[in-house]
Amino acid sequence: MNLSSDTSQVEAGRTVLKFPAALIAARKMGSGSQKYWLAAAIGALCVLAGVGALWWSIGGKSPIQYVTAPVTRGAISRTATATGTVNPVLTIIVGAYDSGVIRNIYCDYNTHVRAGQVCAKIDPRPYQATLDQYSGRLLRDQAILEKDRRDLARYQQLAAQNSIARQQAEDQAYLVNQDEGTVKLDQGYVESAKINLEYTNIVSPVDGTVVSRNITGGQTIASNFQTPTLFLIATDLKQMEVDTNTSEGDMGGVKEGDRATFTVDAFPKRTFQGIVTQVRQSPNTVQNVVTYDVVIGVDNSDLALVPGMTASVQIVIDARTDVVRVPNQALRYTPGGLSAVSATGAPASGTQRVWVLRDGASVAVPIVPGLDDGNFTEIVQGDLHPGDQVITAESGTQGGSPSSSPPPRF
Amino acid sequence: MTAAIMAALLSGSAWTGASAAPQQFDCVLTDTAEQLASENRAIVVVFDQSGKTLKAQDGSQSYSFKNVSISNIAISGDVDLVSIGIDRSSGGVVWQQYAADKVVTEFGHCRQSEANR
Repeated sequence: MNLSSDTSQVEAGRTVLKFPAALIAARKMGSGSQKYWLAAAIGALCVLAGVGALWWSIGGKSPIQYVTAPVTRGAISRTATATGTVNPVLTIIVGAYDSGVIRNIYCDYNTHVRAGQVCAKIDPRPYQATLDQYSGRLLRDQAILEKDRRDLARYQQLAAQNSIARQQAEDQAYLVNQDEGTVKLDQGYVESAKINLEYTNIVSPVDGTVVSRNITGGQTIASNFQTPTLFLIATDLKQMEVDTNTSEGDMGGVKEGDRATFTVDAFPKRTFQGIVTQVRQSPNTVQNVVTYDVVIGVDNSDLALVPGMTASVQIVIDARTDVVRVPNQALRYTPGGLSAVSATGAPASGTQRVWVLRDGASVAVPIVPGLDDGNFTEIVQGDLHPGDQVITAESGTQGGSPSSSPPPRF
Repeated sequence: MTAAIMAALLSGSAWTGASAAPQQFDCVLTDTAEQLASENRAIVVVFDQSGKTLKAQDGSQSYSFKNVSISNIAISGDVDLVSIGIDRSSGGVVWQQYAADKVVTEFGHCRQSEANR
């Protein structure tokens, strides 16, 4: 092969060496130098490969960072939430037995009344007139009775002497009996008229406070068709109750005597205390949602609560104090996500496990959970102690989800 | 006739109009079932709407009522075994005394005292 003939060309008066010609020239520099450069190039490639492998192993996969929370000791209570309305314990509807025109009103809103106190007066004149009529008729019939009785005595005496027919005396006796019946009837009418007259006084039947007045002076009350409500009287506003709409799902745990707390919009920073006094069995169904009235008894000595207020109620279904507890996130945490669970094996039935950070490593601790209040779970059994750091999340891994809380520790 | 109507209206305004000064009213308790007209009793009632006080003088006995409620409709209060209620529009008054087994109720009428006019 004649290299010199096809690698050297004369272009425009100068000599141009192409690549095969340069290699030939390098070869011409000496065979020892050539070997040196080849070894250097191979060594440089090996160094680059090693650095790349080291960078891949360290920089491409950052260390796992755990988010932990401490195991604490404290109280846990499970509650049922409901909304309700503040009501007096007993509200009396005061109506009217008589019809007529309201003549006087002696009670108004917020009036404190006693049992027997007159709150309004219906015009009594028609009823007084009726009473007078029956009283007069009674007097008349009593006089007739008296006269007939004397006649009877006289006739009986004459009949005994055979001065008159016996039938006349007997007829007089029947007449006296009729008169006695008539007088008794009259007495009933009089008593009825007295009662009707008495009912013109609209009277509070209980001690309490007037919470509603539905009449005005001069108004005509027609009691014949429908009993009108004149006043609503709350018996004692110092004892109130909250009628709640408790979901049927919570009814299994609610029972009389349970403690309850609630707030009202009027006092957003104040928590009122109460006791479940009644769990009513009657369901209330609205748009296929079934609720039950759970009644909360409340002491209202300072009269802060007013009838009709809306209460946001929490009924304490179960409670524990001074128990070891962990945040609920710790029970939801699994290292490496759900796929890792099958690899590590599921816990025994009835038990769960949490992961505790011990000496920089995560350690699975089997536990038996107890009461859960939505934030914390009671630990009934398990090698957990207050101060232990349970893992609630992890970050820095491909499978881990970064926590929203500030990255702590480790 | 017109003057009488005006006088009646002015008298009525004393019941319905709000006034800061204490108001005195002369009341006559007239009708209980067993009471004769000759046994009518006169009582004096003084109330202060702004101070929410209500007092009454029944002969030698004076009462300073508690649980006083004064509105444009009615005035009421009670103390010990006595309660009073006054209809502000009509001037009707009810005076009740509570015993263990019964309540004695007296009705009557109140008029604005001459001292207030």
